[in-house]
Amino acid sequence: MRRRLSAALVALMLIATWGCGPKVIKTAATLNDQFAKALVTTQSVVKQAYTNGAGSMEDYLTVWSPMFEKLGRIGYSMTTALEAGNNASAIVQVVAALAVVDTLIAVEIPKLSANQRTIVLVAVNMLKGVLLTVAGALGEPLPEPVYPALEVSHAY
Amino acid sequence: MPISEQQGAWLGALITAAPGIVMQIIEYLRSRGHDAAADDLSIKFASAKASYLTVINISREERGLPPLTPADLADPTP
Repeated sequence: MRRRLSAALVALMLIATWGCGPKVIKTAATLNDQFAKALVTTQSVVKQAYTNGAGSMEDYLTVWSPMFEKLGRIGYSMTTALEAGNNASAIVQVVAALAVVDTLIAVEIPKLSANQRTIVLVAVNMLKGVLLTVAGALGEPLPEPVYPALEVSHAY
Repeated sequence: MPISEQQGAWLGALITAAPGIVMQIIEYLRSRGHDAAADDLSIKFASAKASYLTVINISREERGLPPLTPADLADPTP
């Protein structure tokens, strides 16, 4: 009887694994794909904002452009880690990307002109939102969001 | 989908194994006839990598640097 119960329990665990395992990986893959697409969009939005006079192009080239390259490299490493089934490494990449995004939000966005600040803030927060969801899909407890006190422009 | 205990054990071992887990799951899904799910999973990974490379190379071009290839990004360290 006990042996039967154990067998049933093992079978239930395996079926639960069948139900959850691939789904978690598929969710992480979907979110990873969304982050990659959001990154392309954000890069375009930020560059457009600077072209429209949100800040100096020198700042864009010396701060934002290298940061986008860094985020791209981190994202690429995250995908590689997910493909290899190395969730711990993927989480390290997500945390690194969150640190980059938080730096941009806290340090660079307040320097922008008020008119363009909201657009850039929305784009960067979209990136952060996807990253936090990726972290959640990988089973990492979500950190408390940190948003700087920003004057929100109602020009749009 | 009902699965046998043996299939479940094999899949359970797959899910906890590394490296190359996603590739193995894709192969497993195909072997079970779930081609659409396998395609979806592999397309998402390929698509994400292509998008990241696009961002990297746009940023590098803006700064007058040469573009990178997937081989340049093989090291997964941050």
